[in-house]
Amino acid sequence: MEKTALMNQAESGDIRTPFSVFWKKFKKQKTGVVAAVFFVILVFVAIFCYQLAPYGINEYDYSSVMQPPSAKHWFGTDEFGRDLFSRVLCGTRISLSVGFLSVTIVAIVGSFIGLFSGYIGGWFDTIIMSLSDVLYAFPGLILAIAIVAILGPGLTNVVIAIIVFRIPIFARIVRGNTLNLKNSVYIQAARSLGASPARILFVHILPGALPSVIVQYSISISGSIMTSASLSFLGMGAKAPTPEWGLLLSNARIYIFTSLHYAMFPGLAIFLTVLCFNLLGDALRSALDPKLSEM
Amino acid sequence: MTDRKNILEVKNLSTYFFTDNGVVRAVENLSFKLQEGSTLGIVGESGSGKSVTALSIMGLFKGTTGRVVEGEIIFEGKDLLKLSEEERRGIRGKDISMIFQEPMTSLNPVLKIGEQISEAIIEHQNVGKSEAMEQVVQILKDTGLPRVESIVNEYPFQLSGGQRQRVMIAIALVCRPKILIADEPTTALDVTIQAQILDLMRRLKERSGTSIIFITHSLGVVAEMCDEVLVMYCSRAMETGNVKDVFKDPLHPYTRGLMASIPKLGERVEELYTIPGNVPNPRFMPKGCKFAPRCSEAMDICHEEEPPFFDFGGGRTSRCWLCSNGREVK
Amino acid sequence: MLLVSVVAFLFIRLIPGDPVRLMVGEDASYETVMNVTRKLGLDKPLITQYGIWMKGILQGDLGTSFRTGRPVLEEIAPRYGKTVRLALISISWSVILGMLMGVWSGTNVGKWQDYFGVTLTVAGQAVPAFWIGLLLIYVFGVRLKVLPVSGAKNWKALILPAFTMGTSMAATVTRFTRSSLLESLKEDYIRTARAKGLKERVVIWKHGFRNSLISVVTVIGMNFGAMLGGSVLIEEVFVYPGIGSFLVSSIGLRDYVVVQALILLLSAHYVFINVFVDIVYAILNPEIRFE
Repeated sequence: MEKTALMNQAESGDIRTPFSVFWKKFKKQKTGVVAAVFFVILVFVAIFCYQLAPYGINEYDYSSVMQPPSAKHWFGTDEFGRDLFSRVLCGTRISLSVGFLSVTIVAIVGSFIGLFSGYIGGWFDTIIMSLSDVLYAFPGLILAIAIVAILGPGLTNVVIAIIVFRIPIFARIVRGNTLNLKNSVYIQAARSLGASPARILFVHILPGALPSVIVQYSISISGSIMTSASLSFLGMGAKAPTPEWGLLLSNARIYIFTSLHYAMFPGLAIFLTVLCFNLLGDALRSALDPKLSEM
Repeated sequence: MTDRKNILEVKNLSTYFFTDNGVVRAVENLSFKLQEGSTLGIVGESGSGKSVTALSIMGLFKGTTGRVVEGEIIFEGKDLLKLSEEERRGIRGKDISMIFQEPMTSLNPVLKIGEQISEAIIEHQNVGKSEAMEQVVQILKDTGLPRVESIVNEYPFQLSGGQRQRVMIAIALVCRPKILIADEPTTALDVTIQAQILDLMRRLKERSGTSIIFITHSLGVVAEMCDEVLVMYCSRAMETGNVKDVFKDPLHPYTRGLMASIPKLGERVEELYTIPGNVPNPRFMPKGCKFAPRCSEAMDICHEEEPPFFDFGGGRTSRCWLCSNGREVK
Repeated sequence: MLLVSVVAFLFIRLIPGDPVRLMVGEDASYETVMNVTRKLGLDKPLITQYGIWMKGILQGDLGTSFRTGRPVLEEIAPRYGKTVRLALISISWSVILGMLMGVWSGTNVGKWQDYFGVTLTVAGQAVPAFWIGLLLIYVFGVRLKVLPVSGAKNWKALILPAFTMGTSMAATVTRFTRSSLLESLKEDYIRTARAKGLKERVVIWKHGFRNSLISVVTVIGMNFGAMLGGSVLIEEVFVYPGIGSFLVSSIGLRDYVVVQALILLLSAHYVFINVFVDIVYAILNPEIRFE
């Protein structure tokens, strides 16, 4: 006589698989969807930037130097007459590459470290954790500056710097998850069935930590784009004539007193890209882990 | 019996919660009267709407999706629901106050006990800090707390559950309210502490003549503490009346079921009696009388049409078709 | 902290490039280079160098700048003061702005005030501070010609950099204040406070906000770390002579000694601030006090 909630759902064909639950929640976040769309656009631009750019990124044109935005040059030109729009566009590829490359490596390495550290425990864990605490103790940008100072300027070193100082975060998160899951009932069950430690780690614990890792991944990308831009701005990152956004801003700085457009657009690009990844991270968090969602 | 004035009259109260998943009708068409100086027990299962009734009287829906959609709550000649928020605030804590179920979390952890009581005093009476503190000390003594002088400077986490509940009572009574609403104040406490708290409430009531609305799911407490009783089921009132009368001769099948569920000393039974079935899902309420699906005495009309109240005089009413020999009241 | 000092020391030694050459010039003779190296003690084994350095620190001597030959302490001191001034004002501004926005947003959940506040917060966290700095320089320094945009001549010079840095940090403060406030407003004791008939304003500030302060303080502590890095960027943009820009220039010039000292200093700050936050935490949370 009385219908239960489950019966109702079954009747309306609303069967729930993990992915469909996730997708439904994700769709609910309107900002997340917008961010996802923008993300796709960014990737597209990054891949096809050379084809999309109206001018070459190193096309000097001394007859139209420091021009404000016009129909010919949507973002205006820089001090060498190069089209800013093209340069900013191709900066996308650089920023995204740096971001994805560094964070992917960090995520993989950091997760492994966290996984092993949490699972093995004991003195291994203590050593790793204190090392990571020391690393974590340094303010991020300062550490990055220091690392780049040692290795010398250049984007590769920026990537290395980012990797070094981001690892502790991932290691910590995964270790936390590992510790939580290590003693949970279903892990104990797996163990009693004779599963090997490797199997337990990868098949059981890792997927449990995956949601946090994914969320952190997205957030870290925006962080690394920011770091890369900051370092380039300080002259420690990308070298001319690479159209890295931070470097463009640094050039713009000299000319700020006469023209606004030079500083406006690269900064806008940084802002929008970082915003996109932040929102994406938030949406992922709400969709993947109900406990952490805020608003 | 009914010669005393009614200090509070609730008429056709309906309170709904407008949630994302639909409307929850927490209280539906509820009416009752509270006599001056008496203790009214509102008894019912979890989810029957007892607490929401209390919140409706107090007007404590801020931050929730609850709203009173219909009805009147007459206090001292005025309809509380028509007053401005400012006016209601003046009544809250001063003329009508409330104590809650969870003493462990109902006190602010970072403020001293004395502060939490005195702020009620300072808000409602125009007195200075020192005079307020005098009242604080006095009321704490009245609630039987030891070491009153030092407790005033302590924090909630330093007190036990029973002590915290006494503090809550102190907060509620310090401005000498005319009505005290107690929402399951002893449910979260040990049985021995429970007895002490009930004792305390009885004593304080005798001294000050406060009218009390006592919300509980325990008939035993009702028998001990209350003069009148209101039985609620599925957001509705099912039966009202004097405690002695209702307990001796319950008019409503639900009340009869509740009575039968109480194990009696000296009686040996094979199985403890429980009312068969479950409380209906608020989204799928049965047509007609809400208790009908579980009622062993249900007639055809019970499943079709919801019964009105049948009044038997002297505050005795029952919402059941079986009682149709009484005077019908909508 | 000890570990930190070791790491700082090692870092600097790893920088390629010979500072001695930088000092004496590219075409000095081999002998001159060796002489100077010996004089500066750079030829001794690393461990000894570390020992000498640490000993010096404990005696208050941070070494002598390679570049100018003056004691590092002398070089750092005035710049340190300037950065501290900037930092304090920035933090205060971020806390004030952040908390007010957070409470304003949190007490109007779901209404336009909230959406506005949250949008600003989200945007604020994505905006590169140095970009805003540049834009502000344009607006205030070029168009309106109202405020100085570089140097530290007078108190006015502090306005733009502090505003830029503070507003940037305010975003995180707002976010945490808001969510923390919302959390505490759900608690039972808020209902009790309302049941007492207290004014809503009192309920929110005295009961809700007080309880959420604890989390907010933690965030502010976290912000310090971000600020140490951020100050480098801001000081560069506004050509502000603090230790941030000093760090950058010293690295460029391979002035080991200065860089070492600065990194040590900045890291020490971070550690001390964490301790400070713990203390404030204890003050705000009576339970901890009694342990």
